[in-house]
Amino acid sequence: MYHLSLYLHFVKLRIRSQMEYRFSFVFDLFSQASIAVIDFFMIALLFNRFKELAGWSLWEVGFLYGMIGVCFAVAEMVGRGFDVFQNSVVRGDFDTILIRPVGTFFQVFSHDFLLRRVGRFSQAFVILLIANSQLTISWSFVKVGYLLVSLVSGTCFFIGLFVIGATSCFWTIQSIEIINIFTNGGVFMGSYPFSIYRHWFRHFFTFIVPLACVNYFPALFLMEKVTSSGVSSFGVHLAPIAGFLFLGITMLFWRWGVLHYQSTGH
Amino acid sequence: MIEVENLSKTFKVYRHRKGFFGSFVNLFSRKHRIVHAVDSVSFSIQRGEVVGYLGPNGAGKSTTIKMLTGILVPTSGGVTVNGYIPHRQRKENAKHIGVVFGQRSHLWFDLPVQESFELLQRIYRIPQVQYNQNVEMFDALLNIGKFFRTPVRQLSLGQRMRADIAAALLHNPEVLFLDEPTIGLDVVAKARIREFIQQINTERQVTVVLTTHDLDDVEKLCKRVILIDKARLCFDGELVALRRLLSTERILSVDYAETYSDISIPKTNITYQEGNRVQYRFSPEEISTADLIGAILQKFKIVDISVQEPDIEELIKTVYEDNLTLEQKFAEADAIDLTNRKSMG
Amino acid sequence: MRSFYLTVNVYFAFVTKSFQKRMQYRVANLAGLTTNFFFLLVHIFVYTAFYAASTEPQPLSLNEIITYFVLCQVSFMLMPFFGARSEMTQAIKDGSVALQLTKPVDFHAYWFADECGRACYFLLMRGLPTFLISILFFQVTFPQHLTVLMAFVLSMTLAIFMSTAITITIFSSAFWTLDTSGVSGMSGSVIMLFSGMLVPIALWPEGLAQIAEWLPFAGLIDIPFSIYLSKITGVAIWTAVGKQMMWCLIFIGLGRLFLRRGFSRLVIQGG
Repeated sequence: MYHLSLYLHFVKLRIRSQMEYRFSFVFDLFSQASIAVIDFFMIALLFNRFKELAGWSLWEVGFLYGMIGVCFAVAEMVGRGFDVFQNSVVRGDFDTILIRPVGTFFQVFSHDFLLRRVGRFSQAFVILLIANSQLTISWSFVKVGYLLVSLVSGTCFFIGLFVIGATSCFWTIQSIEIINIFTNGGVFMGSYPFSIYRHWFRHFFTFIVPLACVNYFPALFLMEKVTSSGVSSFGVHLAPIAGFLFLGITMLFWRWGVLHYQSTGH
Repeated sequence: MIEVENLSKTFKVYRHRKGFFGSFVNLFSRKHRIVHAVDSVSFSIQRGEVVGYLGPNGAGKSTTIKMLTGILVPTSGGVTVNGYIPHRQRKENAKHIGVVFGQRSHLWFDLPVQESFELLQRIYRIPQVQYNQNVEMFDALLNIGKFFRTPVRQLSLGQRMRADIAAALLHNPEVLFLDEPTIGLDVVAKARIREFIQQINTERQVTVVLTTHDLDDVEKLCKRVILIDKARLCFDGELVALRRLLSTERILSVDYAETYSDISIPKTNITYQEGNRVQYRFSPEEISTADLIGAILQKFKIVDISVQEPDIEELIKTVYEDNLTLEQKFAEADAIDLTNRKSMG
Repeated sequence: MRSFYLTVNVYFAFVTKSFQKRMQYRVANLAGLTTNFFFLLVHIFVYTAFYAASTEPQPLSLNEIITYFVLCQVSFMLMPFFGARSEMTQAIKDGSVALQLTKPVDFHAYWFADECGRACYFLLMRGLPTFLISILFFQVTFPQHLTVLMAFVLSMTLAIFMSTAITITIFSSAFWTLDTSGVSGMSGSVIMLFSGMLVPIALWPEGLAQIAEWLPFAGLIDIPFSIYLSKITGVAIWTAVGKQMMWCLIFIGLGRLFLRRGFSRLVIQGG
C-alpha cells in the first residue's frame, strides 16, 4: 500500500510538470503518433506490392504490430526512469537514492513517467482494433484473458530491457546503445512473423531474449495458427509467463549491479 | 551512536590501454592496482556530539561518510550507526540519519521545494503534526518560506543548501551527516547555516558529522575533530588539544604606551613592529606566557597586550605537511602524559 | 588567392577537430555498428520472405534490394534523421552561441564544417566497416563501370552536403523552440519516408513515387543508390545530380536565412 500510494503520488507530480509545457507536450504527442503511423504505412506499402508475407496477410501482421506497439508504448511510459538512468549515474545521483529508506529499484522505477507516449500507445491500439475488425478471431473469455496477460507480460519484457540497460550503466555507459537493438530493434523485428527469420536468430529471440513471447506466440494462439506454424502448443500456452520471468531475472541483475556500485563507488 | 572499528575500503583502479585495439582489449581484460581509500580507521562518536571530519582532498573523508550512510560497502572492519549496520540495513539506517552533500542536491530538480518536502514526508512516513512543526521551525530559522514554491533548479546556491539541510532533517534523524555544507557559499549564508546546525544540535541533541574544507566551520561548530590523511586516522580529540599539541609557537602582540629604544626580550623574536605595536614570537616551552608578560610589564608601560593562538588552518597544514613530526609529537605527548601520571601517582 | 586558401584551411581545421572529438567514443561506436547490422539483418530477412512469396517480376532484384539496404546502413548516420546534434542546439538554447559572433568566422560555414567532420567520422568508422563486413556475409553487387562509381561518389558527396544543409535548417529551430526533439522527430520521420530509407521508392505505388520525385529528400538516399545500382544511367544521372545540387543550394540558403533571423532575435532579446 505504501509503495502504491507513493508511486501514484510520483506519477501525479510527473504528469503535472509535463503539462506545464503544454505546447511542447501536444506537439510531441502528434510527432510520436505520426512517426508511428509512417512506420505502419511502410508495412502497408510492402503488402500493397507483395500481397502476403510467409502466409500472413496485412492485418494479421497489423495485429502483431499493434500488440508489440502497445506493450512498448506502455513500457516507455512507466519504465522511463530506467531509460534515463544513465544521466543520473553520470551526475552521481545514485548516491542520493541510496540514502533514502526505500528500495533502489522502486525509486528508479517511480522516478519518471512519460505521459506523451500516449500518442504512440493510441496509434498502436487503433491499429490493433482495426486489425481485429478485419480478422475473424473467435473471441472467448480465455482468449481475452490471454491477450490481457500477454500485453502486461510484454510490457514487463520491455521494462526488463530498460532495467538491463540501466544496470549496465554501473559498469560503463558507452555500451548503452546496445540495448537499442532489443528495444527499438525488437519492436521493428517483432512487427513481422517470426517464421521469416533464420532459426538461430529465432531461437535467440525466443529463449534468451523472449521477444517472440511478446506478440508472435500470443498471436498464433489467438488466431488459431498454432498447428500450422509448427510451434509447440505447450510453449505457446506458457508464452505469457516469459515477460514476467524476464523482468524478475533483470531485477536480480539490477540488485547485483547495485552491489557492484556499493563496493566500487562508480 | 556511531562506532567505527578498523574500517577499511580498497578500490581497484583499472589501467586503460590506449589506442583502438587497446580499448577493445580493455573490454575483456584489465590490469588494476589496489588503492586504499580508508585504512583501518577506528573512532566512536557519542550522541549529541558535533565532530569535524577533516582531511585534504582524496584523504578518504567522503569514502568514510559513504560507508556510514550505507552508500558503500566496507572492504573490512565494522561500522554501526544507531545500532544499525549501514550497508546491511541500509533502509533502516536511512530512516534514522540525514545526509547532505554540498556538491549536489538530493531534492527533485524540477519540483518546487514544497513538493519535494511533501514527497519526503511520504517517503519517510512523517506524521503531519511533526511535518508542520518542522517546516515551521525551519522557516523561522532558515527562512525557507521565501522560496518554498520555487522549483529547486531555480534556487540560488545558498537557498538550495538551506532547503537541502532542512529536507535532511524533516524526519527528525538522530544523526546528521554534512559533506561540505558551506562549499561555495558567501559569508552571510555560511553564518546562517552554522547557526542553524548549532541550534539543531543543542535543541534536538542531533549528532553531527561534518566534513569540510572551511576551517571556520570547524572552529564555530566542532569541539572535537578527527583528522584523516592518506586514508589513515592521524588525530582524534578535542580541537583545543590539537591546537595545544601543535602550537609550539605563539604570538604576543603588545601596544606600548611610549616609544622605547630597546624592546627586545630574551627567548623571543620580534616578528613585526610598526610604531608602538610590536609582535613577539615565542615558544611556551622556553618561556611561559605568564613569565613573558611579567618580564614586559617589569620594563615597559603598555596600553594593550594579547596572545594569539595559531590559526587552525596553519595547524592542519603543518599536520599534513609533516606527518612524521606529528607522530613524534604524539609520542612525546604520551610520554609527558605518562610521566605526569607517574609523578602524580 | 592566398586569403581563399587560408579561409579554406580554417574550415578544414574545424572538420578535423570535429572528427577527432568523436574518436574517443570507440566502444559506443562498436555498439552502434552492431545496431546497424541488426537492422540490416532484419531488413534482409523481411525482403527475402516477401520475394520468396512473390511470383511477379519486381523493379529491383533481391540482390539489388540487399545492396540497397547495405548502403542505407552505411550512410544511416550521415542522414538528417534523428541525430542528436545536441552541442550546437544546446549552445543556441542557452545563448552561448552568441560567443560565436565574436569569432571572425561565418557561423553557418562553421556549423557546416563541424557536421562534415561528423559525417567523415561516421563514414570511416561506421560506414566503411559496415560495408566491408556486409560484403563477406551478403550478396552485395558492385557498380559495373568506373564511370558509374564516379557518378555515385559525386552523388553521395552531394547527398552528404544536402543532409548537412537540412540538418542545420532543422536544428536552427532551436532559436525559437525550447525543445527541438519534437521538430527533429517529426521532420526526421518524414525525411526518412521520402528519402527511400524505409522502402526503396522503386517499390512504391505510382502516385506516391511521383510525390517523392518532387520532394528534395530522394536526393539523400534514393538518387545516389539508384546510380550505384545503375537504375539511373546516362543523361539521367546529370539531371539527378543537378537536382541534388539545386536542393543543396536551396537548403544552404534557407539555413543561412534562419540563422541570420535567429541571431538577430538573440541580439534583440539579449540572449
